[in-house]
Amino acid sequence: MTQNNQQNQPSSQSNNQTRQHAKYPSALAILSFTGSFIVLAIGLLMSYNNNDNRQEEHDITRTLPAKQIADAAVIKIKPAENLTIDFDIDISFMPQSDIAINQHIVEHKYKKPVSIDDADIEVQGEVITISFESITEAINNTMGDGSKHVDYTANWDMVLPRKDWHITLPEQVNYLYVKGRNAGTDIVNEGEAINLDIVVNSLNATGNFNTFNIINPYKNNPNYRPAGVNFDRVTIDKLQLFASDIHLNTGTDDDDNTDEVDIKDIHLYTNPNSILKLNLFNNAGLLNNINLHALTQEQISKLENKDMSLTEQ
Amino acid sequence: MTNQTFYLPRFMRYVRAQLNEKKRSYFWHFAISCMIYFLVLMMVVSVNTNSRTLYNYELQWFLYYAGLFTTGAVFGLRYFSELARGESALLNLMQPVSGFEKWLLAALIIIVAYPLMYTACFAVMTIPLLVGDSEPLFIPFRQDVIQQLPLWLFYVGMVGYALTTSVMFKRLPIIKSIALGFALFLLFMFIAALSNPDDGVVMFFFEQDVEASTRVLVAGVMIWILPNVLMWFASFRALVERDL
Repeated sequence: MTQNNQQNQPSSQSNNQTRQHAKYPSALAILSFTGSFIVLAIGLLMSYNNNDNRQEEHDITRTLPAKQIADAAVIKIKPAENLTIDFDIDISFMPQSDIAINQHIVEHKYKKPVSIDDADIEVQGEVITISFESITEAINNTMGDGSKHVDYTANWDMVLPRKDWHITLPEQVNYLYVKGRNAGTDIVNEGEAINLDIVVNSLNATGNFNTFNIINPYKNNPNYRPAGVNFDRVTIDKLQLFASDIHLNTGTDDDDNTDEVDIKDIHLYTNPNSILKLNLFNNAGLLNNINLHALTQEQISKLENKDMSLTEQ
Repeated sequence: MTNQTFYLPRFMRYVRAQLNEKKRSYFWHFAISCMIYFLVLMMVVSVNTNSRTLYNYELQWFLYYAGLFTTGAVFGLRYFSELARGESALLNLMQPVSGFEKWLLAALIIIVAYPLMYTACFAVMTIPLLVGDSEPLFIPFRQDVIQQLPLWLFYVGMVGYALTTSVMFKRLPIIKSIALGFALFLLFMFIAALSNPDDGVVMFFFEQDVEASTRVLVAGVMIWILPNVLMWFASFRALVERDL
């Protein structure tokens, strides 16, 4: 009986020890409790957005007017025979959902990384064409049934190796002309509009967008508004971004400010060796082609002239 | 000679005693939770007229975790509710069981048993809505395990906070816990605004969208692992301190 009681009852000695050291465990409990929040706060502070470091880089280009950069962009492209471009393609499916807050979750639910190893790269003179013909197939394979009732977000990460670009720019600024194409149609002609739903707010959300300078060549375009302001289904004929690392998000975001902007051409000024990350979202169909053109000064001038004529219309 | 910190037969007796004493309380907790879930479900489904299905998978996902966090917090806060009253506190404190055993059972019930029971209730309430529908039933960890991990780590930390504060505050623990929680929420909103955390760094363990570095790894541990460990250790120490 006595032994049984001893087994049932934790020793009075240990309890006495607890009481004797009452202040110590109290301090330890409070210390652990507050410590957990302090550690969490430090963790949050440590996870600061590193993009701030890039702010200074962009400030240099941001002060330059578009025309000045275009003039300075004397680019002599000599495509290497063995031009290599690394691709990391990450496709997230985003089914239609009426509840905005669910979209983020849905995005994760269907997020399935897809590797494209065999993108077609065509080098013709000074124009480099990169085709992602296999994305459609990859999406169909991922979804299993090739369902057309899904929208998707596709990320293209393109790293442009500096060795393949012969650039003589004091600002180290390159000029890239990126044009999207809709799947289902054949090659889109020059100047033909692509319809991308672009959520400007998500650009802001990445923390990168403020480091960019969007320069609208159509100063008189009443539809144009500077970055950070909501775009409500406007059409921008040309969007120019200046950055070394471009992170352009399009598509729906998680808040209610889902704005849609139709952009015909996206003009990107970027540094060599920079990462060009396009996050394209297309409601209409599967967007599976992107053309990456490196333009000569002559081509740039032609392009600018054509844009100007459009403006005058 | 028995281990005074943990003795299995004594612990099992304590488990049986606790379940006998609290089964009615637990039953009513789940019954009320189910009723609230039913009301919320009716409201959400009634306004969700444009959805593909009546109760789609994503909506289940959202409501499952929303319900788990809210009811789990209440459950954690009320787990040692008897300690807030003098007469019942004495009964609790005089139970022939060590502080560690009390804490262990609390952890097992709140972290393991409660989510299992909650999931069962959720399934029972949800399945009738999915009859004749192709939409699958949401069951945690059936797929997308990595994406759900941060939610569960958050749950562990949150119920740890609820348990700790319910034991540390001797008077009006629930009100004080909520008030402190609100103040901490504001504080961390301020800290987050100050540091502008990078999603990629914060979620590195689950998404790995950013390059691994010492800063990223340390930040991940300090956000997801250490606070939970410290919080549950605090609950243990607070419980041992109050034990007779």
